[in-house]
Amino acid sequence: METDNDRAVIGGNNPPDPIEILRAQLQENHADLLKRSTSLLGMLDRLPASMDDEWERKMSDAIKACNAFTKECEAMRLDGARPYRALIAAIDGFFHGLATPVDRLKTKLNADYLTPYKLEREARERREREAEARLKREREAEARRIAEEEARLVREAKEREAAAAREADRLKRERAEAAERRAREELEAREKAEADRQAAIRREEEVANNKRKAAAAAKERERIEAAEKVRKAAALEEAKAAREKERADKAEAERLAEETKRERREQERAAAEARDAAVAAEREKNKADRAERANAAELSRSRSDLGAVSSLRTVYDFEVEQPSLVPRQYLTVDRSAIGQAIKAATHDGKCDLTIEGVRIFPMRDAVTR
Amino acid sequence: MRDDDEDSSVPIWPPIAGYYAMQMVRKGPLVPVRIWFGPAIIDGEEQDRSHDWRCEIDGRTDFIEGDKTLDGYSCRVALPIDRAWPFCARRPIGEAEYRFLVDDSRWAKDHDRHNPKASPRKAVDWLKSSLPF
Repeated sequence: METDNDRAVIGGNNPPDPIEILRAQLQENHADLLKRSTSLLGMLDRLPASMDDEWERKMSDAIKACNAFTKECEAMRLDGARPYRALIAAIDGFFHGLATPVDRLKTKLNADYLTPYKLEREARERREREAEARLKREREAEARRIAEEEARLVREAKEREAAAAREADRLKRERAEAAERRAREELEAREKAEADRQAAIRREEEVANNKRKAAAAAKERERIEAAEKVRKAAALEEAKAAREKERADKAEAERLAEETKRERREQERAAAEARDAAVAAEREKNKADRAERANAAELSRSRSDLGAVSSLRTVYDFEVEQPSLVPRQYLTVDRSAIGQAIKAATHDGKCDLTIEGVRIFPMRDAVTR
Repeated sequence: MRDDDEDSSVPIWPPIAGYYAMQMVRKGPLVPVRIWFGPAIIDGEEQDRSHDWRCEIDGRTDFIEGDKTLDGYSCRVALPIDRAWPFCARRPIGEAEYRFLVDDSRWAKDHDRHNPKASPRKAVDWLKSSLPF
């Protein structure tokens, strides 16, 4: 039977949103938590104008009640979401199970087939172009070599002519030098004969002098021996006196050393006592410091009648004031910034960017659009 | 406080007379305790008996002792001192605070059943206990 009713389809009765249904169900199931939340938030209207010991205990109890409430809410949240998380995990598992093998196939096609073939083709093209360039270079080198050979032949002819002229000059010069040398040798021979005659006369005079000197030397030797005997006797006497003096000095040095040792022992004992006193004082100071530090936490500790304990806790936070002074161990490399800089510096497939400490290299991969 | 800084030992015996606060169960509220040496107090009346160490816990000085094997046998006896000592010795308090804890506990039992002090033998349920303000 035909009808004009547009609402005669599935969903035409405007069913409530499933999320609204879930919210209503949660409110019904956890009505006590809602009521507790309202009670806790009601404390906002009853906060004191100033604090005292009594309010300190009340605040501790109030915070403990708030902690218990939030913990319970968290437990209920996890418990309520568990079936839905299981559903989401099942849906994710289904679609991931479909997409992941196909993704792996795509990776395999790219890495094992397309990219290696493209790399090989690129290498082949590059080899052909390099071969052409090499042939061209070889032809140019051959032409240059022939031109250089002709220039060399001309140069050698010129050099041979110059060498012949130099040889003629040399022969002429040698003849002049030989004549000069002969004249010089004759002059030297005459001078040598004259010198020999003078040397013989001097030798005769020298022998006569040596005989006189030997007699004087013998007399001098006798005199020196007598003086040496006298000197040795004096040296013996001196050595004996020195030994006596040395013995006396040694005894004195030993006495001084003993005294010094005694003084040092005394000083060491006094130093040890002072050190012990300093250590004891340091220990007392540390004890007082510890007590002072410990008291800082204990002074703030309080316990309510219901067992809520509150105290001050110190944790340390940080703020970077001068980034340039921060030690290297606390710095990290911004990979995304480096990647963006490389991308910005890449033109026509080439990147000339250099960053100190960073090696930038090309990675080839096939892209299919 | 560090253990090596002061002597924190408590004598097991004899007890030290005074006012204290202690928990009757783990994570339970603090209840007032009074320790003294004297006659027993049973059902509010001082008994003519020999003096001994006595205790009052959360306003009570006695308990009902019964033997289920014998019909009808039950009697009030004084709380033994070992119900409180030496457990209470950790928290000595002043008399003013003791009086306050006694009155506070009585008020809770009479007017606020959700107050943990109304049920000192149960651990504090922070989800259901009445709010402090």
